Amino acid sequence: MSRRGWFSLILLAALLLAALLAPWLASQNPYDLATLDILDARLPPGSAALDHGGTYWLGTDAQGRDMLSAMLYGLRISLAVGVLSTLLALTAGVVLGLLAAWHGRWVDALIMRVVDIQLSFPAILLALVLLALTGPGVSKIVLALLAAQWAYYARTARSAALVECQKDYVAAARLLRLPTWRILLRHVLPNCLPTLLTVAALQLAAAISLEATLSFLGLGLPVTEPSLGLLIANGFQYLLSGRYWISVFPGLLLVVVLTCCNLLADALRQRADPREAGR
Amino acid sequence: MSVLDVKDLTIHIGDTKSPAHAVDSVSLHIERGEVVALVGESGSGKTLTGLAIAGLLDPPLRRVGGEITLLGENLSALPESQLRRRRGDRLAMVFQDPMATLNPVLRIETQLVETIRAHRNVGRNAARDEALAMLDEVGITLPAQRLRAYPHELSGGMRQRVAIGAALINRPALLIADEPTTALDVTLQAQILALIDQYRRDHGTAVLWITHDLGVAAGFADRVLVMYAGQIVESGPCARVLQAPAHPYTAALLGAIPGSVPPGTPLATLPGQPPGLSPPPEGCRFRARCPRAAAACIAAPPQVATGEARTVRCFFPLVTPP
Amino acid sequence: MNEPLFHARNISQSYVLANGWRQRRSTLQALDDVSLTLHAGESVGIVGESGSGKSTLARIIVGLLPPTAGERYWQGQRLPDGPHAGIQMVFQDAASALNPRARVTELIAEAPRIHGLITSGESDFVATQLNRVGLDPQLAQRYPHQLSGGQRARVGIARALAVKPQLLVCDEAVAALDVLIQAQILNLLQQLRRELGLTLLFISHDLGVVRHLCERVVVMHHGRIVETTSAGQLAGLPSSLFRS
Ligand SMILES: Nc1ncnc2c1ncn2[C@@H]1O[C@H](COP(=O)(O)OP(=O)(O)O)[C@@H](O)[C@H]1O
Ligand SMILES: Nc1ncnc2c1ncn2[C@@H]1O[C@H](COP(=O)(O)OP(=O)(O)O)[C@@H](O)[C@H]1O
Ligand code: SF4
Ligand SMILES: [Mg+2]
Ligand SMILES: [Mg+2]
Repeated sequence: MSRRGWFSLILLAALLLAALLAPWLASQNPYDLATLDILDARLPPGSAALDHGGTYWLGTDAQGRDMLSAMLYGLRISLAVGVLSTLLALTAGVVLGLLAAWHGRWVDALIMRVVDIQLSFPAILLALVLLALTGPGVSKIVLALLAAQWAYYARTARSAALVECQKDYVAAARLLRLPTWRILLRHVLPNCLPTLLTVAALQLAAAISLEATLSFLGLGLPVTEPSLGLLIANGFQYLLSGRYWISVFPGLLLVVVLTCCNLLADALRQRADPREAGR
Repeated sequence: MSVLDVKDLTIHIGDTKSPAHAVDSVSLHIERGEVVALVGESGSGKTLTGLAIAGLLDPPLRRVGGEITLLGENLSALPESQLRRRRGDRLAMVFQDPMATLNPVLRIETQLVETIRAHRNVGRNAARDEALAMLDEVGITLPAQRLRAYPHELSGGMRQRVAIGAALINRPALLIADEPTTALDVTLQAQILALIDQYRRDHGTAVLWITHDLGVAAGFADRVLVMYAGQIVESGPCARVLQAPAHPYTAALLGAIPGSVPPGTPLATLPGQPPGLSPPPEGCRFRARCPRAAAACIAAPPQVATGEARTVRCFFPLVTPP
Repeated sequence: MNEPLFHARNISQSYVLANGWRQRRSTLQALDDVSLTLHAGESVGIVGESGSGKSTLARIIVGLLPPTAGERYWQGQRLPDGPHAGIQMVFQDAASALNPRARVTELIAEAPRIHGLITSGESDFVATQLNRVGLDPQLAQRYPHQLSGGQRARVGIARALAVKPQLLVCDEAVAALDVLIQAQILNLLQQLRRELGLTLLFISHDLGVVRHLCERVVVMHHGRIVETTSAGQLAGLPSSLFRS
């Protein structure tokens, strides 16, 4: 993989680790209102706390929350929602896509027709409608993202699997009378994986930004569990009054995460494409 | 004057510290109207030799030595990029995959006309007429219709004919054909061979025919060069070499063709595989597989003439000089 | 009389072609009423120019493609559509016929393991299979792209033989190989046939190869069998069949 690919992979892994370890890394639990001190509200980056000796490296928000802690927890939620929905959508899409490619005929026609219809709606519109029906919540936004994204994976998995199924190693596996599920999972799927992972990295970025958008609009996660999108929204009103840090730092973090995903997708695509592998 | 004269062409691959000596001191010449076949296993360096003559080597492939003289002009002194332009209208190359030559998004007409006008000062209509005549000459039926077609609308055999037409359209003095029939079936292969044969008779074009198939060389070429592990191990008039091979490797190639032994009996084969070339083995490169190898073969055998316009690179050839 | 090992009766196959953007459908008759009988231990060749229907017939015989019309019989029993335990195939392009993400050992042992054909250790089983096709058992841990063309062809043969077929169908199995490697593979097939009592159906466009390997030769032209001769008489065939 290219150096850029490795760099983005490592950075992404580090961010994931930081998000996982948020309760231990953060100086404050931003959800525990008891630890917040309203007197510390809207302090600029680098300020010292009034009562205890800590420093607010990235400032505080309107409730006196340490931005750094809030961002670690926000990253945790954003990544959790993004990764979870990506994994679910990938699984659902792969199962349906492989089924369509292998079975062909009416199964293929049916699945792909649903995919076409689904893809003709903008993802955000679908998610908005679903969330409006179900109301906010982590599991609900994961479901909404799953519904909005499975079709991409189904389409990718189907076309990759169609190419693979034309190859003689699949014919050989059929002749050896291997069970169909085994041919699909052990032979076809691994050879589709490079393409699928590329799409997954791209769609992870899409899922995270979709979640951030929904949360920013106030439709995604409840205020008690602020993801990056909600943090940005919270700071938005202070942006013009010079208290840039409440919005900008979570925004920057979001940009970094999305950029990493896209760079990673690019590197994976190059690796999967033999014409570019040598470069 | 030979159309092409190559002296000691040497090609390395990769870094300067431990390069693969992929082509080593290859010398050859081709006369006007002559077909010379370059034969050898895959990986023996045939394509690299052809690319080097055509000036198409790109890193990590490097020509590190040798002189290439085309129509009496020594081109070796020029840098690779200038060579390409200088050679453009005197030499053309066709490849195994016709799509290496043809542009998938352009009509056949556009490609042929632009190839003509890139090299010669010809009007559009005149160029179009020439393109039409060329398609006819390479045996395309309904040439006027095919002219309007895109490459993907043609069958594999027809595409290769068009690629050959595109190569010949500026009447090159030398045609380098790198296995253009390998991907085609026997019928098409025979047709393409007949086509090239007729063309060189009509126009005196010199042909370097690269193939891994001695059978193809046998019926078609005037002279044959046998390549092994980057070196020419035997050369001579086609009929003589195939009748009485001098190099043990040529003999092995001939012995492996079905039909050389009664049906049902095992074919002669060689143990092992061609050697790695970074670095190449000491002494004779064929030594590890050679049934005639002896102590002397630890030294590198020189390429020596054996009479009848033949050469062999072996201390113990099967045919001794008269 | 002794029952033939395999019999294909009145096989026809037509492909539906959708032509261009108007989607006008036409059919292409790839096989037209082809019958073929193979006796146990026989070696039969199929020759014919490209497009004459050889590969289509091969895929129908092994059960990869259900024919439009016709039946297959195995030792006198009618075969249902689909693959049969006693028939295996060696493919032309060994590179595409081997799963690029499976090691040699998995390629060879997977099916026998599933069908309960491995009685002792799996690595011993793989070593035996590799030795039989003249490959070093050390290659077991390699991936296909780490093998030479000749080695890949051998792995393809070993994989087919590992499930103990009685009929081996080879579709242009040596066409892509250099002459020296082709000779090795032809020798190997001949030796395996003798040792295992295999029945061989060998498809090739190369008359020399078929004449070398087969006792009986079937000539196909435009989807029909136009002639069945002994290999010795093949030389006298009208060459017009191979020019069109
Ligand atoms: N672009 C390249 N990069 C690295 N190695 C190459 C390249 N092209 C050819 N080679 C190597 O050079 C050797 C000779 O190749 P080639 O001339 O293509 O053989 P042939 O045409 O006789 O089959 C082979 O070992 C091949 O792997
Ligand atoms: N999947 C397919 N769809 C449509 N036509 C096909 C298909 N496979 C083969 N054909 C056609 O059937 C004919 C016979 O092909 P094939 O059996 O591959 O011949 P051979 O192996 O003798 O070259 C050819 O005209 C070919 O174009
Ligand atoms: S020089 Fe020796 S090893 Fe080389 S080909 Fe001749 S006899 Fe064989
Ligand atoms: Mg080559
Ligand atoms: Mg075929």
